[in-house]
Amino acid sequence: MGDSNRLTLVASDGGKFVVDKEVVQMSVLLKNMIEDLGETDESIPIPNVTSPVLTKVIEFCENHRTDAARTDGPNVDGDDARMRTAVVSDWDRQFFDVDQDLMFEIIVAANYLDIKSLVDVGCKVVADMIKGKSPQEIRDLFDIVNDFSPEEEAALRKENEWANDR
Amino acid sequence: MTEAQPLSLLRCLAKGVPSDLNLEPVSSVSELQLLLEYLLGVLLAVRGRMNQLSSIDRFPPEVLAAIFDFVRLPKWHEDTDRELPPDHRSLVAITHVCRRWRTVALDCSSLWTGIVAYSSSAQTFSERSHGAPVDMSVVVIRGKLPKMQQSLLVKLRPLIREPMALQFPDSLYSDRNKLAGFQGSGHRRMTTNVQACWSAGAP
Repeated sequence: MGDSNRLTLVASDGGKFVVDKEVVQMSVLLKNMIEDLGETDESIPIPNVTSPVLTKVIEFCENHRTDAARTDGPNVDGDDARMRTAVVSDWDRQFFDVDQDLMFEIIVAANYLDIKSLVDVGCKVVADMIKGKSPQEIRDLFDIVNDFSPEEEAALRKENEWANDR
Repeated sequence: MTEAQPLSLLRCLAKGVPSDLNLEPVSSVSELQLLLEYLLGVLLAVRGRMNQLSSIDRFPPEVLAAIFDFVRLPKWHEDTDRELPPDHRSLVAITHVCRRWRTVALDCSSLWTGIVAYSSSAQTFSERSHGAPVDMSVVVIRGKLPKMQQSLLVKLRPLIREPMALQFPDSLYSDRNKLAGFQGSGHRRMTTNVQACWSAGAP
């Protein structure tokens, strides 16, 4: 019989992670799954998330486990307040100081696992990368190419007329 | 022109233009025009596919929209508790990056709800907000609200959550450039003039 306060998560590549239940429950998806399963020793497969990504997700949740209790309280003003007050702390910024592919995979995994605080921080970090940049600078940053037709480009140039006249 | 001709031409071009590339069978400008349009179509499809393979394309629309919302959200002035107006230029830049980003941004009406009534962007933002509740910034000059802003305020009144009035000293009125520089330093309160407009529901 294992420790009832800990659970084993299995990443898509078979990597196993023994984690405190309190930490796992920061994921709404896993929290609901645990409630459905009841008391069990079975490990929980996470089919869409690889070991390196799951390692980072668990690192974030372990660091923010006390935040979860705080934001579950009755004084939270809903999504809008959450969005507006989401500040990227030094720890969070350091956490996302990884290569772009891994950063994006963490955000996608957080969205899949429904870990709102991690999605928010990730989105804010990406938003900070975008702010103040021109469309071409954004394309260069994220390996995006301009796929607008010549007609669409003409319409965009027209938009620039009012966008730059503030 | 058959479908096979441009495709084989494309294969040749992909390997580098061959010395024996022969466009002689294409005997009219209209056929060449067709070929050009076809190649442009292929180019756009290739670019679209490249974007589908980029790592940021893994973000589902709701995550992209959340990122755009953070891009748009106003910053809080570091020295005071004043909120700066939304970052419209970055938001417009987002819609000019690629087709997918534009579609996601234009489908998300809440991104366009920060309406700056004194800006030339006001009408477009109003259309793109698709009837969602809006926040509106207006400028009061010499104690009065200019007519264009009045009519927008009245038109959108049922949708306005909170108007934010920026008031300028008379001395600045003559210098439009200086006026633009004052955006973002406004007071988060309604002036008497705006309040009157608001209460009456008409200019």
